[in-house]
Amino acid sequence: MSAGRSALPREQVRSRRRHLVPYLVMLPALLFLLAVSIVPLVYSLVVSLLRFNLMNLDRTGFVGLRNFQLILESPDFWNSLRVTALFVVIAVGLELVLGLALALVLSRDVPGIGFFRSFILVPLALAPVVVGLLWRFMLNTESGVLNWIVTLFGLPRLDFLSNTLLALPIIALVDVWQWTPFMFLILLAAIQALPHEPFEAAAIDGASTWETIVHIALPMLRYPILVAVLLRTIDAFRVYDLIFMMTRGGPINATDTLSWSVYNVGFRNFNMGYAAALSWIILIIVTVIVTIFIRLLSGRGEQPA
Amino acid sequence: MTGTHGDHGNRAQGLGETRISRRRMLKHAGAAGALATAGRPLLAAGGAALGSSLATPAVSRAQDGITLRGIFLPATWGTVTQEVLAPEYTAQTGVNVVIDLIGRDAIHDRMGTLFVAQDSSYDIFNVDYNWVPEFARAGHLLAMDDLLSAPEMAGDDFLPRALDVARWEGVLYGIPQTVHPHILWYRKDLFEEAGLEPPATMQEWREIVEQFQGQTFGDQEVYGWAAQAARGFGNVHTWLTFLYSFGGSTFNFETMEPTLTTPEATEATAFWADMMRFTPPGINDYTYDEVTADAAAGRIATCLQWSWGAFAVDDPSISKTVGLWEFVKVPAGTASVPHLAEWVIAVSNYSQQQEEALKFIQWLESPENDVRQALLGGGDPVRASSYENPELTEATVEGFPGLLRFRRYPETLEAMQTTQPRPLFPEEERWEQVVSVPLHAIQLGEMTVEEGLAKAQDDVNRMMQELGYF
Amino acid sequence: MFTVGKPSPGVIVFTYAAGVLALLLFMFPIFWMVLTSFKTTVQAFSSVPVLFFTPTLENYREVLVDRGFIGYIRNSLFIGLLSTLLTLALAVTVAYPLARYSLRGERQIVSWILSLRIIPPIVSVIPLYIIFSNIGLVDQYPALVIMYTFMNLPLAVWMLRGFFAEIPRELEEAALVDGSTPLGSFFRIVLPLVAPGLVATGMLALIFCWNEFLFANVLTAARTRTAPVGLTEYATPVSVLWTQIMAAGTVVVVPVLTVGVVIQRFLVRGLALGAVKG
Repeated sequence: MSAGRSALPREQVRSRRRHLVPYLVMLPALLFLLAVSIVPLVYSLVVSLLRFNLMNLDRTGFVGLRNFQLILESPDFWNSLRVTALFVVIAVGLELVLGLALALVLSRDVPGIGFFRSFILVPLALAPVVVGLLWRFMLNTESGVLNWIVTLFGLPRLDFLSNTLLALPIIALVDVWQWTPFMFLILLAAIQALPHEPFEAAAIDGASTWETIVHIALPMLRYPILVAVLLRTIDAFRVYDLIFMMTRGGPINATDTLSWSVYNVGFRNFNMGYAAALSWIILIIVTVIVTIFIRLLSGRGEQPA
Repeated sequence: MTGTHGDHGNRAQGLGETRISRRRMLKHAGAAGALATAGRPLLAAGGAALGSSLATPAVSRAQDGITLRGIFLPATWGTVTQEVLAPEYTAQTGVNVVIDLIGRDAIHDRMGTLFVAQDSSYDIFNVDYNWVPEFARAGHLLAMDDLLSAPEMAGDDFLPRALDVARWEGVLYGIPQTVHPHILWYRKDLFEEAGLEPPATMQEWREIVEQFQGQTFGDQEVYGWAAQAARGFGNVHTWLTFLYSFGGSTFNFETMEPTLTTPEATEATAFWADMMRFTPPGINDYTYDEVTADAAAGRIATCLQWSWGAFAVDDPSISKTVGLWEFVKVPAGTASVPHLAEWVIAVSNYSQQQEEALKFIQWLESPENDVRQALLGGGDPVRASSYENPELTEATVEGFPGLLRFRRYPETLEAMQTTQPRPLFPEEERWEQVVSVPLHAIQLGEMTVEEGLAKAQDDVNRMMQELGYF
Repeated sequence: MFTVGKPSPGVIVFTYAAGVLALLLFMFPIFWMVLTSFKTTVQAFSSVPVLFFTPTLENYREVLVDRGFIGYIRNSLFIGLLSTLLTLALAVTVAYPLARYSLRGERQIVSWILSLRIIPPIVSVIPLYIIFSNIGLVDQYPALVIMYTFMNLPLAVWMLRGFFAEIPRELEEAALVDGSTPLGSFFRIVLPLVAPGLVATGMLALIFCWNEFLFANVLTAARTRTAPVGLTEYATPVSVLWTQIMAAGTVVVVPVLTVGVVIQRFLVRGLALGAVKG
């Protein structure tokens, strides 16, 4: 399909009919989405106000905001929040830098470039569960291939995943490995869609490649970059599979992310009231972050494009 | 529900109450709950139709007979049950027994989520005994006192401490399948070469591991000792043997107040933390596997390890130290009190084939099969008679005449006289998680012994308070 | 892009070098997994990596035959396909009207649908598990089919709206002039044209279902256990069967990669369209 067809403005070819029919057609799907999103959230809000342990139903009762109070007083919650924030910043930050660099380099049309572009995307398709186990195996202190590489440089073998300083950054790096291709994908498409004229003008002016990137390309890429960072932030914030497979929150509590905490409280301690309250706090945090991003995004009209 | 089990009627009543209170809870939860309940017949019908139309081989029910389904641990007692004993039972009785093997933590979580849904797809569970109070209090497990007192079960023969940990409020909820208290493993050849005797006290052991640490025997560098130390149950289990052997305790069981900052607890923890200096690199990630691998590779001089695991070091295909390990009881602080590890077999209260499940368990844990499990390479026996059975006591390692295969048994049996379990209360699994974290911080040097114990004490206090103990 | 005209030889060499390096970094772990899956435990745990060895199929036999992994894969496929079909059917009913008609409240509907992607799964899984366990849906196929359809629907609507919008309105109008009903022209004209988009969207949804773990872990057991859940159950605190895990991992990953490479062209376009054009 050519890009030309999509350029047709919809308004011109679209009739102004305002039937009820389109709404009726959409209704079942919208009702389904509403049911599966709102019902659990409301239910969860109700549960969050209860003392409600599935293994001790006799003590079930209304406790008001007690669960929220317990969470905010708990050092574990603040630790999880810090761990999650650190994870998101390291992972998404590196993914942006690497993905952008890769997209800029591989956006050049040289023969056979499609081959590279395709295979770089492979990690995206892997189950995070497999990724976590695979990296844990490669990071093993005694027999991991990565530790063998470390010894080639004359260094001692490292306990990557039981080192309090290394464990979280290492898991973030695994996330970087899997999701940098996503940044690359979005940003490559964005770069390829850029108009040629500004770059031709810059070449005539004798601008260096670096100047061209910083002063011309990056400002025009502002919107796709924000979208990509937003999508990755939402995803990285919920990191769970990697933690489950690699460290289960350890060493000590260095990788105890918010999602892992909820799982632990909900499905290991069966303390559903507390887990529901904690998950609502997570939802609020995510909503705030997304709102900030959307503010940033809606400012795009002011940018030269 | 079967009417033949005396105490069972009461339990069923208790269960009924639990169900009612869940309904009540749903009413509390309001419209959402009502909606959920109303949708049940429709969705469940759809689910059943789908389920039956897509019978996978793994869950297909034998057309002409009964199929029991169980979850076991993928340790040797689970694999022996899955691969040898269950098929044998099927051949004898026509009852099909399908065993899934699932990791420890996953068994716990799966049991909880399935029990709450009153799921009947699994009948039998291999249970780490510390979960018995949690699931028994909630009414999810079938009482087994009648099974134990059945004449053909020879219930008196079970090791008393093995049975005690499977009880909650006086009712038995599990039949022991295997016990493995901590015992001290030591390399006889290295000790002889160094002119040392196996340690009887913690102090002696401490001196020995310091002496061995970093020594080279042949071309193998040796470390003083190893034990499970990974966060989770691993480091807690090892630490408990130190705590108990120095006279410490986890709780004041009268008040359920934690006793983690007592002088005994502090001394025990300080000793354990100090001992951690004489371990291999990477110790803070060690689970059962790493300890066994090091023992088999000849990298450690002693270790605190489950008794059962000794089979691995006598297997020439994976071990360089066949016949070189001997076993003594755990060194004494004030006394020798090893921590007890044990797995029991329990039946779901939601199983629709409880009688058949009990019959299978009775067969699996009969005196004869207790011995056979050991001979097949499963777990260590749970019956006193098995420890005297010449079939076991005189068995030798294949290809090594004169090397007694079960030479650990006298020490294991002795350990079963003094061993202590983890604290038995419904939230024990959570307690283990809570305590494990500051212990790990002590191991990694992020906290001093005093700071770590203070945090453990605080965290447990907060947890017990939240749970309404005081 | 940044070098107007033909790239210089230096630029070409640099581009290739970067490409090869990236390829090594992104492909090596997968290569290592596949390699390990053919090793014995002793070979896999050698402290110096073993590169040349006689491959064994023992791990695959253990995984697929002894541990019943084939059953889990069948569950994954069944749930994934059912959910994907449902997702596409529902997504079309939303995406087509949104793309074709100028509707009052269109912006609000679109942003509401997209905003559903924001809810972290861990937030929904707590109440949904309690609800499902009360209505007897735990370890039943509909539980995951519902969850996965919900999970994929927003993205599917988003992608399909782009594909529908690209189809010239004139084609449909021509069919209407020829006496076709709106529904008839939709099925005979629009749907065939958008088929590549449907395939791409469907495949993406299928991959997400195939890889999902959180819901599957909580909502499945004997009857409906999916491949990722079966896989994690190998990693037990008592013993981690690495070579078998690598075999099972390979089994989980290879079909996805095969499908991914085949449909990649459509996927890339579908995903990138929305992000670039908003």
